[in-house]
Amino acid sequence: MIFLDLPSIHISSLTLYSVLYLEGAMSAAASSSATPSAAQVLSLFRSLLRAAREFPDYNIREYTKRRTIDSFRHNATLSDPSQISTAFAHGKSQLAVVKRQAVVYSLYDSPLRSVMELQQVPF
Amino acid sequence: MASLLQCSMPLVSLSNRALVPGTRISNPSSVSLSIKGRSFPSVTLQPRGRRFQLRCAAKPETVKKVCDIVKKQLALPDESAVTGESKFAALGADSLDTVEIVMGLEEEFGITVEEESAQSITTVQDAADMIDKLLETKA
Repeated sequence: MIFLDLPSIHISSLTLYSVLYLEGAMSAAASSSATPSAAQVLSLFRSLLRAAREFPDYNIREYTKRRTIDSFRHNATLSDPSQISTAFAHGKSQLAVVKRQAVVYSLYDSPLRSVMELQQVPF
Repeated sequence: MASLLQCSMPLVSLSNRALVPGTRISNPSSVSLSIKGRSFPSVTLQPRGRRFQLRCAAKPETVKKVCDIVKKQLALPDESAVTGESKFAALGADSLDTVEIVMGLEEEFGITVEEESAQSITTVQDAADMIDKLLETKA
């Protein structure tokens, strides 16, 4: 009822996002049943690092990389298959989020670059 | 042994020369011999290893660059010896570190390493060779 004042395109996009969210949750639940292999985990790790590169903003790019590495290092000690599966499913859903957000950020990319991206310090 | 002799086929001649009666061959690399009803252990013929191995060595500057990246990635001190023969595992790198090293090399050299190829990289020399190969194909 709240959406009635909004244009139809907003309603459809909101519906689409809710459907995508539900699909993601369902696929995560389905994939959490099988324990992933080491190769699959490394493949996910590589995919997340590759996806992080796509962010045009330096800070977000570096944050995503650091967050990925820290999370994988933190979960490297997991031994319970159900916990491993849950973490893997969460990682896959996060990969989808990163890919989506990278596209959004590239649409609103700022021409200004971070000083950290300069090859040599200008002073 | 008996089963090997039973399933093997007798050879009449080899290079126009008659073999000793009772000599049987089961496959080109295994020969069994029996003289006057007495059987002997089969002789297995193994191919000799290659004496010379050709290797396309990477440029020294590429190897040096890779060594520097590996040192930086694994937070090794500057005085630590990292050469082309150094294995990542020997330097204290785990599987995640290896992926990070490959990703760092991709960024540094502006290349994309396939997942199958990335799994075969175990030493600094392997990485340097692959980088040079990819840079050649890219050019």
